[in-house]
Amino acid sequence: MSASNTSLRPPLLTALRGPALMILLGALFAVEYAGGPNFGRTWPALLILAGLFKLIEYMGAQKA
Amino acid sequence: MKHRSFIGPILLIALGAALLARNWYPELRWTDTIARYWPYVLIAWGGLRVIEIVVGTLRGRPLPARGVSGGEWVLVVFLCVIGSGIHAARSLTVAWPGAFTMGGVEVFGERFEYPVNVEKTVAKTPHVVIQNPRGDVQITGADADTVRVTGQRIIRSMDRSAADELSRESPVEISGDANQVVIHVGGDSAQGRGVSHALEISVPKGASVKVEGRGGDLRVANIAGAVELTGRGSDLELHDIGGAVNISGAYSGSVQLERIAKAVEFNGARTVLRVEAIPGEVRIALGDVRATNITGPVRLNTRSNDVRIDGFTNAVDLTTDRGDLDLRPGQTPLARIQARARSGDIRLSLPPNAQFTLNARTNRGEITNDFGAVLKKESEGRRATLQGTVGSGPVIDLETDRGEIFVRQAGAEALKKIEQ
Repeated sequence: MSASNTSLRPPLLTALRGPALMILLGALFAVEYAGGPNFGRTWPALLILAGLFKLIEYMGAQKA
Repeated sequence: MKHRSFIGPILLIALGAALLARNWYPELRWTDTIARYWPYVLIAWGGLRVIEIVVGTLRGRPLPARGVSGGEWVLVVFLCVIGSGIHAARSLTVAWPGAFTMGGVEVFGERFEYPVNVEKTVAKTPHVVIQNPRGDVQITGADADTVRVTGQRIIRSMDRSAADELSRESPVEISGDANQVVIHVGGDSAQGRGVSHALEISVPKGASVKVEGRGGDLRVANIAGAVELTGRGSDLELHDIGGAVNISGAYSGSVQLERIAKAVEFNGARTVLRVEAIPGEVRIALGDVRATNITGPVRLNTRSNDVRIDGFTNAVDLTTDRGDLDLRPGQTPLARIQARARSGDIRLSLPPNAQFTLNARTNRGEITNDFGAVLKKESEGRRATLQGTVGSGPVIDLETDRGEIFVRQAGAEALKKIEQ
């Protein structure tokens, strides 16, 4: 039972993807309000981060 | 047993504490705090979730299938929409005081004003750089050898002492030597915290000017030298400029350019314009570009805008993605004209005595011709072409993927209007 649970357990990166995107989303708005570039210009960074997570997950799956 | 997250209870406690603080300390302007700091709720939320996942993993708990559930993402979207809305409303209050009041009290803090008055003696033709203005700025050339900045610093704050402190952090300073003058507006740290300026800047008429703006309306007039604008702003108005003009900022309002003696290069978010001079005027507003009496070669590339040009010399090259093109050269001899629209009508009104070679094509639409059989029209399915030569003149290429083309003879009255 325990072994089966472990093998079905989603990788840590998958679990961290959502929170990381949420932090980046907040950071992009905070940067704009601090006088930096506005969110309309920086939002693609969210796609890049999501893509990076997916890529690392894919590479991890290939190794496994 | 399913492991429950501790973030829900923490958010509930934080919300309760904030509302309790609001009830006990009514002088706290919670909307102002939300407008500024709501993104940190997302950062804290995400951070707590990371800690929860990592600690759970170390303790051998099963990892969640998703770090953030679908319901949480819905809440995040709500938070972003509401937070951005409150922040936008707060910015609006800085520009239009009194726009948001509750029970007679301004929601986003009181308005405090501080006079600005600084001056420096400079050369007759200095290069003046204005850094970081946030708010409305008017720059005017004058017959004097001084740079003078007058106006007001406008601060939105909870109380006078905080406003005083922000005012001290946001000085308007003139530095540099007699030929290279730098006007620095406000401390960078105070920008975005309810500090803006309404400034009138007087410079020697022979000066060249560079503005690195941060928002607000900008008006530049009576400058003999070059003008360079970067950064961002709302409405922009330039008139009676003797030097070249280069605009590469993002202006969200209307742009008006009048009587500019040398080349103008405008690189906006939706419109790129290059023209050799503007004896008349150019107005660029949302969805509309209008030019009257301009000197070419003209190159205009725009998205989703209707374009109308009355009276131009030399070659014209126009491109639009979505919008109608309306060209009225107004005088002969004509110069080369190229006009392309992906989706939109093209109207060309030529003087009756104009001489030209025309190549007009629409892939889906009709062509109307006022010049008679000398121009040959052919239709095939939805496609139509109009080709031919009238006298010996330059080539005119008109092309639209979806739209009609009108080749008109301008009436005498219309021509008279254009000449005026």
